Amino acid sequence: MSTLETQGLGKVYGDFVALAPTDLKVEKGEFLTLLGPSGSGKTTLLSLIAGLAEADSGRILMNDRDVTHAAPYQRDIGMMFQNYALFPHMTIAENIAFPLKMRGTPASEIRRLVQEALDMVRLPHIADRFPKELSGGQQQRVALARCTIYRPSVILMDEPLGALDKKLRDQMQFEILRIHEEIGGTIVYVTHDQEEAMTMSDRICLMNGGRIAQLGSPADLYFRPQSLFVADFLGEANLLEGRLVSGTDGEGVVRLGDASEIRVTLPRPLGHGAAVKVMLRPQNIRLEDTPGEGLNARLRSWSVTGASTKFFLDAPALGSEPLIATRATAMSAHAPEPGRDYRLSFDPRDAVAIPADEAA
Amino acid sequence: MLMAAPMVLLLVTFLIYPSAQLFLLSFQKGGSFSLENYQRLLGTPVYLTVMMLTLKISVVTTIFAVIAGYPVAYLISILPKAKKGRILFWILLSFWTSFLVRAFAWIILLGRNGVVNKLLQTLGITDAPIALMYNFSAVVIGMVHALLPLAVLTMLSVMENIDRNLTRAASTLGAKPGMAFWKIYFPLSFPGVTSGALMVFVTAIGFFIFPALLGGRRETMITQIIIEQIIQTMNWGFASAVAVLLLAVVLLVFVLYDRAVGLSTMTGESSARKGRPGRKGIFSRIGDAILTGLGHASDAIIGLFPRRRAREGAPRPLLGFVIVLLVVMTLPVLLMIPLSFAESGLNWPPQGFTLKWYQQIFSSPIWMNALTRSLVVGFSTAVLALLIGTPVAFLMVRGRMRGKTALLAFTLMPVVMPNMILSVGLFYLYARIGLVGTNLGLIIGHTVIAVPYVVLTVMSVLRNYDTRLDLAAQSLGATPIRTLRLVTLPIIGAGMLSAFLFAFTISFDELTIALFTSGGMSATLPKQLWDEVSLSISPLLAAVSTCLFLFVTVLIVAVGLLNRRQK
Repeated sequence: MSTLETQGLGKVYGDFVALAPTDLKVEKGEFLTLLGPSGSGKTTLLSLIAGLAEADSGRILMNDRDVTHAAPYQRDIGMMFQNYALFPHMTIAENIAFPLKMRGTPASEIRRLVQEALDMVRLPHIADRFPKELSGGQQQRVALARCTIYRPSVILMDEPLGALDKKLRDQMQFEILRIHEEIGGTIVYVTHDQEEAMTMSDRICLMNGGRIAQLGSPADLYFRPQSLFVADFLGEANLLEGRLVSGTDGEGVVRLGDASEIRVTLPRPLGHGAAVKVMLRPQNIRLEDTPGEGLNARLRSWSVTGASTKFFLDAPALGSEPLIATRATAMSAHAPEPGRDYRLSFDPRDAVAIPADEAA
Repeated sequence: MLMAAPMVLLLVTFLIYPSAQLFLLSFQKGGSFSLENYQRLLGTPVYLTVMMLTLKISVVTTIFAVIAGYPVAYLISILPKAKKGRILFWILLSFWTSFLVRAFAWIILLGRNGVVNKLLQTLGITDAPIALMYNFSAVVIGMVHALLPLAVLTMLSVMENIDRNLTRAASTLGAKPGMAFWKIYFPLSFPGVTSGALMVFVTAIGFFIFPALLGGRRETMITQIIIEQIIQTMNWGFASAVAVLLLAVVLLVFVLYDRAVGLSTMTGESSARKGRPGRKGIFSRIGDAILTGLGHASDAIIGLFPRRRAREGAPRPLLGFVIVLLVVMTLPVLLMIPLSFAESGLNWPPQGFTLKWYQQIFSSPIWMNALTRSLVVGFSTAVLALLIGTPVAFLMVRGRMRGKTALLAFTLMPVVMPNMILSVGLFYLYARIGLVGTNLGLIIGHTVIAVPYVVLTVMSVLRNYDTRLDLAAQSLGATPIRTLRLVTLPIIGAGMLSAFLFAFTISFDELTIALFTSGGMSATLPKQLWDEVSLSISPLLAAVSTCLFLFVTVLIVAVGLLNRRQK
């Protein structure tokens, strides 16, 4: 049974389609991330689910109950806001107790639950402080405790880690996952950070222009993107232009600009002769030191980016854009001469053909 | 520190010194120390009655203005930007229309043959005209009407800083609308309520226009005693004692306020309490229980009505209430306009159409002189206040120095001190140095009042200015002077012009100082209007008031356009 379901849910502001009619099912206990650039509709979708905006079309079901027109307080949700939205005039304990008070929980029970919640977010001694006195990370944990203490069936999170620095963010990602595991609720999480989405999610709902671009596991989206937008948005990708010359479901051959042919994966069936772009991730391109048969390329420049070294290569077969390949940074392979030639090779399973005419 | 020197000099010479002088005068009788003035003041029942009545009128006015103003401020704070501007315009228009013009409008409205009486008779509620004026209610109605915009604007400055996500968060956490309002929004807006009440109260307590024009013999307020003592009997010592009493009451109110809520809330700074670990006091628990009760009650009432589907935008009943209130706020002055073109005198409905009243004004040397004087004084005041106030604002925002709070408190002294005290003090000072009846005297007095507003306006402009732009300009090779000329001033220019118009309007509307230090052929427009209103009510005055109102409208629109272009 799905905890949350939208059917043809849409929202329009004047002429602007913030969310085209959208179907989405979220399973019980799932961690689903709404990922996308700004203006892609992810925040609109979240607001509609939360009841903070009114849908123009479609329905929202929670545990099979129609809540499309229910007020936020009538839905069984918890929400974590981007700027935490802790009540500045209440202590931490009062903040966390708020949803319980609204539900008429007895005072003694509230006290016990609040302490439990504070222990869970590892801030057992701050009950009597005010939000202002806490660091960003601490406020974050309090907000998390506040929206989970009453065990809502869906917890919504609107870019909750956006304001934190990198290190704290990694820590909080782990923390949110731990608490998700502990309380077992369903989480719908909004972010524009693809790394965060891939780290945390069971499934990612990648959105673009008010529509779902692709919905699937992080690996699905990463390895089998169904559109150029998805390929480009998640991780770095080389896109080689060509035409499909043969192939059925699953595998095929693409002829590139210089008439050379490569074997590719077809995530979905395509007609023969279709214009395609072949996605090749930089880390999946092997650079053979001795040029030979197949694709060759000349080194334009390189740079060390940390654990990996980026090679920018010119290959006439592949168009004017430089091809990017990465290698693990190592002293042995350090500082090659620009201008030297390499042979490129890759596993056909890592070369994914995507229809080229599809708008990004 | 040098940047604040002109302002410090101005306030010391023309505010502190004259006030100190009054203080000393109040303890003198016939040139030697005496407590006789205070003995007379505290020993005469009539003065105590006046003091009590002044407090009563001020308190009642404050309560009504704050309660009526709260929904307006709340609505403005939740509206989207475009609609916000539209409602704010009407508030600002009322705010800037002079008290005198509005009091005059009420005279016409509440008169024997005024709109209200005519309406009551048409509706068959009364048979003959009834006395609506010259009583306590008329004074309170006029004063609430006059001070409502101030209450709204003060409360708004706090409400604008309340994060709207907080009530949304409360809603997702299970709070119904009533509960979310009373438990979350209202406590956060409370500092606005208290500072609004404070501003209204200290302004109300120094009023004399409304009790003098709308009140009867019984409705005398304390500032009227001062005027009477100065103008009729020239009893400086006694007038000073009354002024000192008034100041003492105002200061006492400020001290109590600071104890209870803290003055820092006045500047719109964050309202959250500083950490007070431990259990909450009994009062806050009682308060909490009351708010919870109000929350339940509101939700029960809301529950009686079908729920609206569109949750976006303002609730209908609130919008309706605010629109009615805005109409009531604006209507008195608007109703006055047609009467200024009528041949029927000030009787409602207006009959005929004539421009003769306007012709009379423009051909009368007295009115034209007054107009010229008001314009000259207003313009000079604005220039002077800007020259003196701007460096102080720069110092407050950009300067790194200790004692900023003290400097701000010093700057705000003219706001806190009732204008009447300043006016009497200046009159006494001017009388000795020959500035009575001069433009210079008026300009100095008006500058003292206008400077704090200029400082505050320019400060808010500078706060929104990103100083990295200056650094950018300098890193690109501009000298500090050219940076100021080419980058800083063009960006903050509109804000500066608003401050200029602000100061101009303050001077143009000012009556209290002009009351003593201008007169006869040296009167300003408000002073001339005041003198005539006190003598008789005529359509000519409706015409003058209409001119004043239109002038302010043009200024407000100009400032509005400036600010819009800025964004």
